[in-house]
Amino acid sequence: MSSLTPLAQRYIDRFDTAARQLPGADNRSVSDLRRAGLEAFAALDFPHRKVEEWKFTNLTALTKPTANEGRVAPAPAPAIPDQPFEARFEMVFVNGRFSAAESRLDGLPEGISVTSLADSLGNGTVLSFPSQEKRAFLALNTAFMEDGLVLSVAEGVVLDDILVVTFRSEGDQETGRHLRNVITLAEGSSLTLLERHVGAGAYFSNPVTEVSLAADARLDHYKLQAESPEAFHLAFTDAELAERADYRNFSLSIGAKLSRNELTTRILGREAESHLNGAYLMRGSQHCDTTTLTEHRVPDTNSSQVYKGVLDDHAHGVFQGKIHIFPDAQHVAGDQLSKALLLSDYAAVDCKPELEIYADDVKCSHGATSGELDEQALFYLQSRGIPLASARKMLIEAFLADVLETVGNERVKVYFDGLSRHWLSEA
Amino acid sequence: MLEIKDLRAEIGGKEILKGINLTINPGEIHAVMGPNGAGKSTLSYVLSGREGYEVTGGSVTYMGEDLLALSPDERACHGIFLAFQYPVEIPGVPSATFLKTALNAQRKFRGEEELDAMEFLKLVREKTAELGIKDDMLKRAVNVGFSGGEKKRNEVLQMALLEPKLMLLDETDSGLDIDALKVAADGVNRLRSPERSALVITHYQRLLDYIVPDFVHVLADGKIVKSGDKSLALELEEKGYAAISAA
Amino acid sequence: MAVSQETVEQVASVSEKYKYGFVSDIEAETAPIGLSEDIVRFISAKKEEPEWLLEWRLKAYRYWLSMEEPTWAKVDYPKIDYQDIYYYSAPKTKDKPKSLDEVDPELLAVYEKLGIPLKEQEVLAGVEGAANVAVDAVFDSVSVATTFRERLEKEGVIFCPISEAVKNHPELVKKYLGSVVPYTDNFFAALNSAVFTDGSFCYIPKGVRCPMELSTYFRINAAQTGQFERTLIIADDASYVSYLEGCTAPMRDENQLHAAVVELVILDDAEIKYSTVQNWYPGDENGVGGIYNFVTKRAACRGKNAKVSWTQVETGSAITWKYPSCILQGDNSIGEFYSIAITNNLQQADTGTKMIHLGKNTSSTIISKGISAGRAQSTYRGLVRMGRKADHARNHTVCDSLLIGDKCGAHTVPYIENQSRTAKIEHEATTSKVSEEQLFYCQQRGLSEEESMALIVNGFCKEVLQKLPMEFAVEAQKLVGISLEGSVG
Repeated sequence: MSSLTPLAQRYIDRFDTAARQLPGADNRSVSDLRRAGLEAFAALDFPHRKVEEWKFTNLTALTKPTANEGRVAPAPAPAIPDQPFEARFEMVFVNGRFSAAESRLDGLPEGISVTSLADSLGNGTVLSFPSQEKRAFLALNTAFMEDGLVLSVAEGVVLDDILVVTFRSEGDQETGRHLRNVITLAEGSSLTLLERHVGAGAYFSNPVTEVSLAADARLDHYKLQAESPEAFHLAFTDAELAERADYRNFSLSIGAKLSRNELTTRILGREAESHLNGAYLMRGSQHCDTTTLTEHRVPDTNSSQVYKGVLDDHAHGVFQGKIHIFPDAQHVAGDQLSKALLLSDYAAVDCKPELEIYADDVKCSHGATSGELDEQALFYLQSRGIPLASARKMLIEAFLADVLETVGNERVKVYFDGLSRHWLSEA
Repeated sequence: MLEIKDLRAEIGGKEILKGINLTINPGEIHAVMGPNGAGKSTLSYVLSGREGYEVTGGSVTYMGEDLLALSPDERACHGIFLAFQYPVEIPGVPSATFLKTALNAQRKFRGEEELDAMEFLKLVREKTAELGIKDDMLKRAVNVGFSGGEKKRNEVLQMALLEPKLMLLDETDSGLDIDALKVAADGVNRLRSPERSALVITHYQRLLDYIVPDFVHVLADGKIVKSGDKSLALELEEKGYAAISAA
Repeated sequence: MAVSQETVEQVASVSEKYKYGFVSDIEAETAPIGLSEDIVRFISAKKEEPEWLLEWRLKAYRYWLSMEEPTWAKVDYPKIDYQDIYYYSAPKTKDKPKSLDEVDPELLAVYEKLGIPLKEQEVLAGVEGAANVAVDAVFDSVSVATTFRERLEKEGVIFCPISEAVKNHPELVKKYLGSVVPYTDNFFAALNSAVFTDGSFCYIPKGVRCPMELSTYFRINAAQTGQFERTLIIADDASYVSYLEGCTAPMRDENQLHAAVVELVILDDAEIKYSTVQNWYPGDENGVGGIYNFVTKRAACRGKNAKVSWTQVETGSAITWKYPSCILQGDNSIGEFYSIAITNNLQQADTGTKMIHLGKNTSSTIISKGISAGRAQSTYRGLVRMGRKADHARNHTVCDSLLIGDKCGAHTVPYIENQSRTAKIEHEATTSKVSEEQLFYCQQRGLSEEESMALIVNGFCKEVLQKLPMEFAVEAQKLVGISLEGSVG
């Protein structure tokens, strides 16, 4: 067998020591789980670009950093500190661990349980995990997971507010943050969640989030990725949907040196729907990858996706989206749209919107466009007296407007709008 | 006000304007007529500063300044307004935002106080009422989903709001029915004053029944081949471009 | 939907399932089974090739040995035993025929049965209905006849079997062979480079508009034999040619390998229009037999304002693996890809194109129509790449899939890579089924379900069918109908 990347080797080498200190060390089933994760990871290593799913994202800056890294000036610090978000309920994780002191969870309605994964692992709560076959980062997370949000919402319970979960990290490349979040919504329950990732330094964040929606449940899942501009963010979210469940995910990505937001939605119940949207704003030498897989396993289900990217300087955007319709999953509608705007001669975008369809009575489509700002529109605005820089800004805002419009929660929308504007004003 | 001297311009290496001479004094309305491909639209784009139109010779002096040295937005702030033949659709930008940004950019340039949302709205409502334009247009994205007539009305509204000194009308009549044509002409006529001038570019005479020019010029193959008063337009209508150009 | 009576009649007139499935009893000379350096040398010797070409073949063969068969395509087939294939089979003849009159009448009969015009005199004598097309007929491993050569020579157009071109125009072959598809390109291209036996060569000199359509007709006849042809077309400055390609094979219950390479070179202001109707034997309704069609086709628009247009109708083969591509190197060059891929029963097709934009103002258009019926799997796989220097390059892609029945699959895998700020890429794709309403409407007007389906599918493909030269368009329309037989009901 060929040799592992240096970083992978170091993870494997330090596993035994680490596992003794990680939560749940005394619990046999937890340590078995970790061991299985490590073995799966060792067999996979960090993916290289010959692995089809990683064709467009080169991880060597993470796995084999060289002195050459950082030739291009790093992106300026993301906008997060200037944009507070007033939250009544907030759970804060600092450097991979739950910080009770900074969290505000009092007054959550009955039926909403929020705990820390470290506690659950410690007291041996059995967890179900998505398949880690072929997913190196998931396997690594299983081996090293240290904490995370364990959220469950009881039948019929509705949170009339927003639950904010903030992950703040510091550290260098060897500092891995393997957070594991487990979110379970029982029948007919509903919740709005805002997940925020921020930090300072070149740390490696590897969060995994498992979402399970029972019949008629609805989750509005917002994510802000505003990690440190030197950091690595490789996130995987897996959602499974029962009958009539409604999953809405919106991600705004502005941070990290290299990031991947990978989302898998498994639609298992009839009349369930999944809507994945997002915007990524990148500059400097940032790399941002959005990879989605939507599985329609049963008939009468719907899904949609809209992702928009703005790329400046040497930034690189990736969108890979796959709609997979299983045999006999009739009457399915699946749409997907990816649009990227290139603001500089050195920015680039790669896109792979994929359809894999095994049922005939379906309506699926995807669209992808990429290009620069519309020259005619720019001239039109200028001819009315608007200076070039403002005209460009107006057009970029307009480009993002319809996807930001899909943010259903008004407060989050205002927050995300503000962050995008702030990003634009930094140009 | 505007003095064009031996203006030459090309697109992608092809010479379109081959030495234009034209002087417009304050308060005058000039019409430029000509067959398709004569360079009419090119003239309006060169004057408003569109990228891709390379000036290879001659000069344009506007109110004592070298117009060609200014960017498109600077020209607009100096009071040049181009009413587009095909107004551009800009999805995602609400008309109201667009108008307010443009108006305030120009006010700022002139050292005037910027208008706040309320003042702006009041002003727009006045203008729409004057011109008989429905103001629900303001809520929609700029020109998106507008009919041909609505787009032209939107141009007139912008003109009324921005109160330019020199109006360039690029085939404003194309694709308009008679009612829309009247609205457009009415918009221009309302702005007529001893300080304000206009250059009306058109293929047909009929617009000039509503916007009566002081001078008419015939543009053919990149040059002004004939100039005269209003009667020249009627002569053109009667005899056709070929006869006039050849004469 | 407009339904022309003519189409109805054409569809109705077709009753046989695969009418080209006959085997001809023609005595053949065959190389020993299997592949080795000796076989490569044998083929080269048979063709009386110069040393440089043998060396090139051997390099390709050795390189091939180091390669692995690609697995990324969405096709599933048992492992091919490359030692269980005959790499050379040629009809036995005493001497090479000097004119058409000397061609074995039995061979001519085969082509007549296939409906391929090999008789120049008919056209020359003005026989009504005879197509004005020059044909190179490739039978198993060799070219057996090429028509209208003299007429073409008058214009300076060279159209001959590639094995002859090696002898008569070595400077051209040496300069361009492998320059668009090097033997290192992929597994099947390497194999082809080692063992190609014949194919067509065509050179259109500067400023010449080729006076007639050129066409090559490929026929696999011998059992257990692979066909490895190589086509090279060079359009010199400001020239034009329209080239057609057709292919059929007998019905056999074994799978046969066809691994061809086509290279097109287009210089300043020149244009090549390349049309294919691929109707290799697709196997039976249980997926037994059929051709494995692994083809590498690529066009290099080397000059400014060069244009290439690929039009393909893929109805045959058990497996199709084929991506006719365009390298748009010259400024303002244009690449087009129009494709219909129909799969029925257990056929599998993984096909599409690559548009590599390198020059300024280059533009490309992709229109792909995939139809899946029965238990077939059809995949569109395409790449659009805008290089950093491809200023103001444009691409527009439309990729539609139609599903007939609930046991088949239709997949779309586009790769879109943009490194040019000023480039503009638009890609759209849809997947849907034939609407019940359309079917009912046609049936209500008296068409059978099958006829209705053929009509609707023809309508779905219309944009692409229109791109075919006249002679092919009619044939292709019929094929669409035949290919879908048994897909409804």
